[in-house]
Amino acid sequence: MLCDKCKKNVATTHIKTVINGQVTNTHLCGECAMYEGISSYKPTNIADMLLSVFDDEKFIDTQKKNIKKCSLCGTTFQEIANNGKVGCGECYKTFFEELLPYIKRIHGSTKHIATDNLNAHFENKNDDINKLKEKLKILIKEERFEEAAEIRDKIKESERKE
Amino acid sequence: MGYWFNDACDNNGIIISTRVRFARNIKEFPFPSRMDDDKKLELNKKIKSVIDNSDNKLLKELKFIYMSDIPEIERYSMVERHIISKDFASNPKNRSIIISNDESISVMIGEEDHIRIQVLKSGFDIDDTYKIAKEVDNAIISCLPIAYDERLGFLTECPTNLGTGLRVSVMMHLPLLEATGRISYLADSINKIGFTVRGMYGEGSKAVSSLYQISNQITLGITEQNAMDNLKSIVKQLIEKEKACLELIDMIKLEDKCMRSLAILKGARIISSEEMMEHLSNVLLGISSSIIKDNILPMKLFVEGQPSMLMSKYGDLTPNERDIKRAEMIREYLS
Repeated sequence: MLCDKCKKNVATTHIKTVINGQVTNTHLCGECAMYEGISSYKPTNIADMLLSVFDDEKFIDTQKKNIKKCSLCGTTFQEIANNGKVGCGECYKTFFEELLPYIKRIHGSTKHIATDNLNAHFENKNDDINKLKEKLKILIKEERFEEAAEIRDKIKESERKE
Repeated sequence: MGYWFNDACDNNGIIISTRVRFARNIKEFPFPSRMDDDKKLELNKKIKSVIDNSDNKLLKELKFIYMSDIPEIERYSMVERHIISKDFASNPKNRSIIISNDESISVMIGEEDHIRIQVLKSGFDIDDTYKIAKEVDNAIISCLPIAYDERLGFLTECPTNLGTGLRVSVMMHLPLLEATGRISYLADSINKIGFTVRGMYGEGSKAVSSLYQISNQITLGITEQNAMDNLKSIVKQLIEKEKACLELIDMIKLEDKCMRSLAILKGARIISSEEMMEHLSNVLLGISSSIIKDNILPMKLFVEGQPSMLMSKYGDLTPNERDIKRAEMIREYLS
């Protein structure tokens, strides 16, 4: 079946609308469905995502004020924001405050959980969060994605409070 | 163990391969995009000496090769075998690869991060793939000063890899979820919980032949084990959902589609890589839905029929000569 809109691609999104008892069937291809705002699936491009993460007013403010340079590689925060690439390991120390909000937006967390020996140490400290994370795992297993999203938000909230 | 595409797929052809990748960087060195040529050369030498002097059994078996010593066609055929990235193949200067004989272990030096460790295996085997990658990782990072921060974990050029620096991905063939339009809303739900669904060649690529890569997006604030467990359960659900779609499909039409594709592959005298991939996808579907019972490895043809793979085997060919050679190779395999 071809897409109702572009009449070129195969329809992969099928929408049934019922308004006042009147049923309408629409068949769209992925691209047209995305254009219509029905489906948001598109291949993820990390660079684009990162650029959009950096592209907000707060960033522009920081950009105006900031002329600080990394002592090891000489990168400025503006350069990092322009291409989404950090200059070196030291940059994370130099621009820690500036980078933190963006890191949080990417990962929902700003705290690394170490594997191996450090695990036990972190687990005691984050007991509640870990319980929630266990619950999240179960919900994903049971395909309860809506509830899983709620728990995920709770985990983020608790991590923010810490 | 041989090349990943020479093995049968798991779960009746639904799972193609499993890949585990670690991103690591060396302290006191700028990240690759800010390194000059001298520094890049120093980086390569530093890591080469780790490999040359290691007592680790796995590392001892790996070969260190400068990318500029590999001919262009061979470099692009490595992209087609999923060993290196396209960018790594196009810009070989001052970059190197450390690789095992069967190519299941490969370490790119000087890609987006100083060190990118990859282990790639056929089928669905996250645990074993991870175990090997972890051993290579431990052997390498224990000999080098690594850029690591207690709060942010392993420091990487792109903040999306901070934390564990671990990306686990499973390549799946999901033709029925794609045809019924379900893959898009499943991808939405999967995105919401920190995982991502992408095309076959990773970042920014479109799905070719209904092949999708499912991988963890979040690397900070999640343990390696958690990321892997969650990915496993998502993959298992996708297998079930793909299988469940069979109930909605008109079997005779499906049989017709798969058998026609197989017949075209068996008979074609000229075939483009696009046409080959489309029909191989239908053959894979035929295998996963038990319509085709022959012992065929569609992914072997899929990879070996790619342009650079053909040219690295048969020499320089024009596009038309390639299409003829490709058809010949497929016929020979299927006869």
